[in-house]
Amino acid sequence: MGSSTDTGETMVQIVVCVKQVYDIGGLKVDPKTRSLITERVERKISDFDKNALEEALRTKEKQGGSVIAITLGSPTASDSLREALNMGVDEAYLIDVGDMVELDARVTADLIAAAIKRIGVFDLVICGEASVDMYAAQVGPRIAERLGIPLVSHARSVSLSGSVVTAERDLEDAYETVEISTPLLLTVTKEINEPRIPKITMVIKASKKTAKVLNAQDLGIQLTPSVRVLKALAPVTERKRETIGGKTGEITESLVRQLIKDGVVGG
Amino acid sequence: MTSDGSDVWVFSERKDLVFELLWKGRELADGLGVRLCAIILDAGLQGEADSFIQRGADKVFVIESPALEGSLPEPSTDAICNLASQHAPQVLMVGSTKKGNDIAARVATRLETGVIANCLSVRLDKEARLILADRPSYGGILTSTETCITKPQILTITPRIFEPAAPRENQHGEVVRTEMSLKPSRSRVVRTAPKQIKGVKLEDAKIIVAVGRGLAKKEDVGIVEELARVLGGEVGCSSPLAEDLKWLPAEQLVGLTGHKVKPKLYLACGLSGQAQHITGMRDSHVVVAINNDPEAPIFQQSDYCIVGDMYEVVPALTETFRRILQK
Repeated sequence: MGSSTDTGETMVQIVVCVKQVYDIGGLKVDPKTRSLITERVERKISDFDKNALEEALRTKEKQGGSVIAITLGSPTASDSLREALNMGVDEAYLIDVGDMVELDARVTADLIAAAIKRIGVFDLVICGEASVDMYAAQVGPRIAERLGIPLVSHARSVSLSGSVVTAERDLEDAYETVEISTPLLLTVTKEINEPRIPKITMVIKASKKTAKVLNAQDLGIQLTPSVRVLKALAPVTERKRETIGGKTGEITESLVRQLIKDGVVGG
Repeated sequence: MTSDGSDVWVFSERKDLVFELLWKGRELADGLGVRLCAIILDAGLQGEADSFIQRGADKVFVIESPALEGSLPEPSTDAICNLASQHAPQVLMVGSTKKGNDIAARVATRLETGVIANCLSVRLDKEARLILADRPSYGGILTSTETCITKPQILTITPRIFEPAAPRENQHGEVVRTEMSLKPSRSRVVRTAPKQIKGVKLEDAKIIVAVGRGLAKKEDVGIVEELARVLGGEVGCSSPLAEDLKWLPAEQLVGLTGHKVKPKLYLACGLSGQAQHITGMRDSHVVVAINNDPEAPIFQQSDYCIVGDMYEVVPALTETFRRILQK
């Protein structure tokens, strides 16, 4: 639990988990092999993880405390930690997994949870509700389980008063507001805030800080994944791809006739 | 048939999803020569044990505990892990809802196994006795075929990709009711505000008229609504409209972060066709695209392609349908 300041506010220790992903919009598929072309595609912090960083920073600014960012990957992933430092996090850690590519959510979460335990005390762990590339929403909940703390997922607003978090969750059919005392793990939606764009002064200030590196092998985690990816290919959909041209009236007329013939409208 | 252990289990807090899981679960259990078991945790489903048996379950575990109320995953996780440690299932399929995915992740962590999340199709490799599942990856650009090599193999299943199992007569099964003393969640729900749901059920729609960023302003959505109305269909949209601009509610969002649909006719208006969107409508029977950009990727995924301004083509199309269909 956090320590108290002179003003009686509780200092809050926050850990944010960020994932570096390819900019999905820049990805293309090789039509021959149906596999992904990743050369020259930019990498960035997964969108919702940026919201997680922003929420952590705002909470700290209000309440005092510290924000630590953790990422996992090859050393290129430290670019996303630089971005997090520029935004204003106090410390950043890279869990260096070298060239291990086959890491599933299980190994990922186990490594992050082990790193969090090693780094020390925390009140809040904040993650994005899912990653924009895999969209499995598994790593956050798994870290909560490993740390033995409650999970409050899909939060679209969060406030902290002392050690009590009030979060509004975006569920399928309702918005649900819950109150819960720390420690806990939150996953946040894109809606929760607008992440800051670091000003040049912030970048200069952050340039003095460097990310610390933890070696995955040293965290005492079994690195064998449970889930194996057998293949990953662009799906093939057989479509007619018939262009209907002409004047607007002719186009709509022939389209409607065709759709009736296909049996998808009328009757 | 084995007496215990290695069974196929299904769980969801939603009855409609349990029906869908039972449909595939029956096939997997038969293929593996094991029993199909359903787990009921939620108070609202306590009376459904017999209907699950009629729909193919050999056994239904009904867990009763006041701690199981509410949307947070911890008490349900405890209940499923208690059962799993006694009975050692080899497969657990969970309905892919926000709560379902939370529970699956926590259960898998405690049971030292993996989850294949948001599966779009599931099949059995009989020789290896492993489940193979397809799921979207890289924002839906790829379909990834995955398998889980630790037990239980946990999968969360996208709604509406399986048929709901139909009830059959003379089905026999065992109902095991257990009271569990579970630790309640540390959280307190202070308010639940139901979303204003229009009642749009995109998954069930036969015709969907979808709109994307070609829509210049929110008020103009009327032109696609009118087309949908004439066709007796529903209006869908892409993620920029629902998530960034919020011109349409999330219940109308088609794609990776929204609904997966397979209507007879999907009419995409002013919609570019990003991979995230295509993932949600790929299984549509016939696709029509109207877009003023001939390079728009949606045309690669369409049967009929109209290069033109949706503001001109959509109202004209509405009129033509109205005339020809006499509506």
